Amino acid sequence: MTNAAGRDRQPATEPRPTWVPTAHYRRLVTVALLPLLAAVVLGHPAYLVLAAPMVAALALPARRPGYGARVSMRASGDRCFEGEQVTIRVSAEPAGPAESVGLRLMLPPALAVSGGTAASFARGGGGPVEAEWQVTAGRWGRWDTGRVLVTMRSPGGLFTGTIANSAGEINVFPRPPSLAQLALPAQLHSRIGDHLDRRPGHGIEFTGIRPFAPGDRLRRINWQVTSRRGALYVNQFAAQRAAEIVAVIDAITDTGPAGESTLDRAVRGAAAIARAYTRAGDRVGVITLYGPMRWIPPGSGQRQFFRVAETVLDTRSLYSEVSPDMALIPRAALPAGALVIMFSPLLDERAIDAAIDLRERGYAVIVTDVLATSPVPAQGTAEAGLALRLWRLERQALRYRLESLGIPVVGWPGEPRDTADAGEDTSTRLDIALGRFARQRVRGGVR
Amino acid sequence: MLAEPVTVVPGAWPVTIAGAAALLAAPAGRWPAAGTLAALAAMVTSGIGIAAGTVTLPLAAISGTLVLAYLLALDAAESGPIAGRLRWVRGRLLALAAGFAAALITATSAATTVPAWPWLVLAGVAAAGAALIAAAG
Repeated sequence: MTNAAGRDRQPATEPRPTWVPTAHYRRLVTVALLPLLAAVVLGHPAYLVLAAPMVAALALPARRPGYGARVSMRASGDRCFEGEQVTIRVSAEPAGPAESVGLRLMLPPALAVSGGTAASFARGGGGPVEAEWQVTAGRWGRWDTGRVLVTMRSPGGLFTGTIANSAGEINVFPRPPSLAQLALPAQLHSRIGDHLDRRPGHGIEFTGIRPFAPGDRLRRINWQVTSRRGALYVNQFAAQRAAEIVAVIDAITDTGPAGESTLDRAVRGAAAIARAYTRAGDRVGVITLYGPMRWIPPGSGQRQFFRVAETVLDTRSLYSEVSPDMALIPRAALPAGALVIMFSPLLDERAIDAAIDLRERGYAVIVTDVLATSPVPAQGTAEAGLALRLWRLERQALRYRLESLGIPVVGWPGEPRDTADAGEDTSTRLDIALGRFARQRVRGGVR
Repeated sequence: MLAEPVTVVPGAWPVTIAGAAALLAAPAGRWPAAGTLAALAAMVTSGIGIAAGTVTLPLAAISGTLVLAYLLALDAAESGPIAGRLRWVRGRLLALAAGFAAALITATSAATTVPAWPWLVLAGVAAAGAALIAAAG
């Protein structure tokens, strides 16, 4: 997903570079200085003859240049999903005579030039230079698109001027895994939606027949039953309600390789929740747990999905001594009856306490364990295997404790293993993890 | 540039060997200063010859021009692939020609005996100063 039409990220600017002597200049000066000093010290004119060619080469291009270059940059979009490509086009035209102009793109670690092409481009003759790069966004987040270094060499190659231009920011949204089966809370919201509720209403799903009561619509009258029984009977339909889902991201702990860490999976899981439920007409909000908590109240529509996606872009694991207090979250962000789906590696007691607190306040809570790999014990010790078994037992005890409190725990992608599978596709596993709740709604309520 | 002076200054062979070693070691070790050291070695070799009286003024002019040619070639190698190479070569040939001309003019001036005249010295210094001002301006 990129902007439909490319637009100029930056109007053409004409910054002035700082001109510095090149290595060629320094070599000429160094080599010329030796015979010149010998000529002064020894008084022999032949040393001047030896240095004359270098001095002439230094004097020929005259003075240090002072012109700049007209630089314009254009990107095909300022936001995309992980794995998508953005095209960056740069054009630079020196404002004076330049021997050559080189362009080099410096990218942050999250972005990479795709196709294996070189990130630099040079052209002689001093005319305008244009370059185009296909940049792949590798990791979600708000990134500086990078800098373009425009390097010019003066005629004679004695001076080089460099201009650094920033390409602006790019928002890389997390690529959400597919989620076709939606978990629903037992109690649905009063807003109209696509899910059947136990309460009677004005939906399209027929649930039965009942005697006519004042206020019933005449179009609901079931004339066949009415004629058989001699009294008015009306068709009864189930209400169709929308669900309210709140995704909670545990950013207190982040462990694992960059790109597949627990925080990465938590953010992608929250994005999957936001996309799947907004598509179904439900309302989705997000809460991020770390030192400063952040939240987005539930909303619906594609706009809400992008609001959630933009909110999670700034999520980074910030260690803090502050414990997140769920009581501080306003009711608008955590409405009654909402289903809370927490993505957490369950490594910090504060996140576990937050889940228990929500359950005790009557919310239906599902915890998705995003820790994919077990810790690696120190090799060569007899207690290494024992420590790992104890750790796994503690994890099982934690799960049992949460499930006994009414908080189901599912692993995504599966139970923690010793090593992560390379190139594993975790998209289907989120469906499998949460799919069991699609068949039976999650109950909340005070225990 | 290293072999030419040592033919007339055999005693300077250690400097020539050091310069050649710097040239050979440069590509393997990616040593940026190797080229400069090789050029300096050639200068030292020629300087020893001048001091010994075996390197004449024309030979010094040729040595200096060869060193300049080597430095220009070194710059070409470090510049990397550049389109419009022909135009670049033309510019470098101009520098080489100017260097050779400057060496010849300097050699001719050094070989010409001019009586000492203070006004001539003053005129020379003024010309050098004017050239500097023109270059800086």
